[in-house]
Amino acid sequence: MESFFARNRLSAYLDRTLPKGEAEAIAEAIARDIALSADVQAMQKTLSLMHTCGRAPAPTGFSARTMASIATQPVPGSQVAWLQRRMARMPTELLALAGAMAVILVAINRANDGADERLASNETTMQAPAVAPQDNAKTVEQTSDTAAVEPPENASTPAVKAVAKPAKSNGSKARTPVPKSLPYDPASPLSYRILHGGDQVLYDIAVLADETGGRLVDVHGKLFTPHSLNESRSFSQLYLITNIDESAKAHAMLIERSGMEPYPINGPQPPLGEDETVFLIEAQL
Amino acid sequence: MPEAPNLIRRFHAGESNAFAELVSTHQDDLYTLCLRAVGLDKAEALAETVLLAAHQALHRLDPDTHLYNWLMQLTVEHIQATSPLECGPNDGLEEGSATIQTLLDDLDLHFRVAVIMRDIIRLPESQIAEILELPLGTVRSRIHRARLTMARGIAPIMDNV
Repeated sequence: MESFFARNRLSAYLDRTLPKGEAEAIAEAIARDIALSADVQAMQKTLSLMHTCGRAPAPTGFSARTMASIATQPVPGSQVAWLQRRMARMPTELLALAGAMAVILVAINRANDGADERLASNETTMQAPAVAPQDNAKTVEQTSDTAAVEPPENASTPAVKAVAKPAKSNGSKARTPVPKSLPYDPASPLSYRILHGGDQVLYDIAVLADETGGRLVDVHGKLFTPHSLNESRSFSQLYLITNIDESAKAHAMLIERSGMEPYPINGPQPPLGEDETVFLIEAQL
Repeated sequence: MPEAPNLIRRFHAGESNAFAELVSTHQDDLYTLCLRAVGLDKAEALAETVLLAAHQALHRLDPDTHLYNWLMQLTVEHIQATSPLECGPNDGLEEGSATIQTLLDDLDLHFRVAVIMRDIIRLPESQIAEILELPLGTVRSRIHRARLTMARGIAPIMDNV
């Protein structure tokens, strides 16, 4: 084997990873060539020194200092993990109580909805006869049986509809689902209000941030720590910063979770990086 | 390097001492790579920076990721970001260690990292290829060239000593 090729195989030769025949050929080349032999000796010396040095143990106290530094850092995007830990610590009784409260609230809400609908239908039936005579004097002269069976054309039916429509729309205004396909422009940040849900709100927001690859921050851009949310305040503002590519997805998810129409942010906003946009979330906790 | 298979999952589950265990398990290799790549005066700060970055990113890491390789990759990225890469004085090192450090300092960063992993941390070539995301042949070539360069540089240094 020529010295040039042998030199290129020296590392493998010293690592003893060459096939037997090739190793013998290199050994012969080393015996023939003094320069190659010098290279082998120098390389062996280098390897011996490096192996002797070995791994350097980390300085004394390195681990403790590192963990202390980590303790001063914001919670690393782990709102979900933090909430999971926090919820895991909650006593079962407290969770049961919260569940019972939620059931009661849903029942009350449904009862109110039923009352609204009954009220709306009552308004309709009460106003219909009052409007009809104004539009057509004939109905005054008709017997009650005739009026009930054959209401006058172009009079009572349109009148009932006219009264019924606004009554229905007034009663259901707050429950109108917001279309998910609202036009959204990342250059015009919006604010979203989430009013109900307790701890679940935090969890949902954290999941949303994770799924859109975003981060939750305060108005100064400091990474949001869930601890600061519900200890002293029941209503909080936090900002979700996402990449513009993910902003439409975040917008749709926020609309769905909020159930309310967003509105433009009027006020300060956290600093944004390139290709980033912000969403203000106002959460009732 | 023995791998703790559940360490990432335990961290995701919020186990408080999971990261401390990660630090104590991997700190020596991580510090060694930093020490030999950037020198004694910057090594500890760099190793700490790497671990802080790891702590910030770990919650997004796939639990099936090879944690050791991921940490070493992160370390290499931070080493490459240490610009300009000038090693400081090696006064605090022992004689043999300082000699090796002097030889390493003269290497191009790619060769330096490869040979540190192979001959000081003693990782298999295949694992180095995975960490550096390079073909095995490229890794072997880098290790060989680094060794040869160091071998040719060691004679004058040893003569001076």
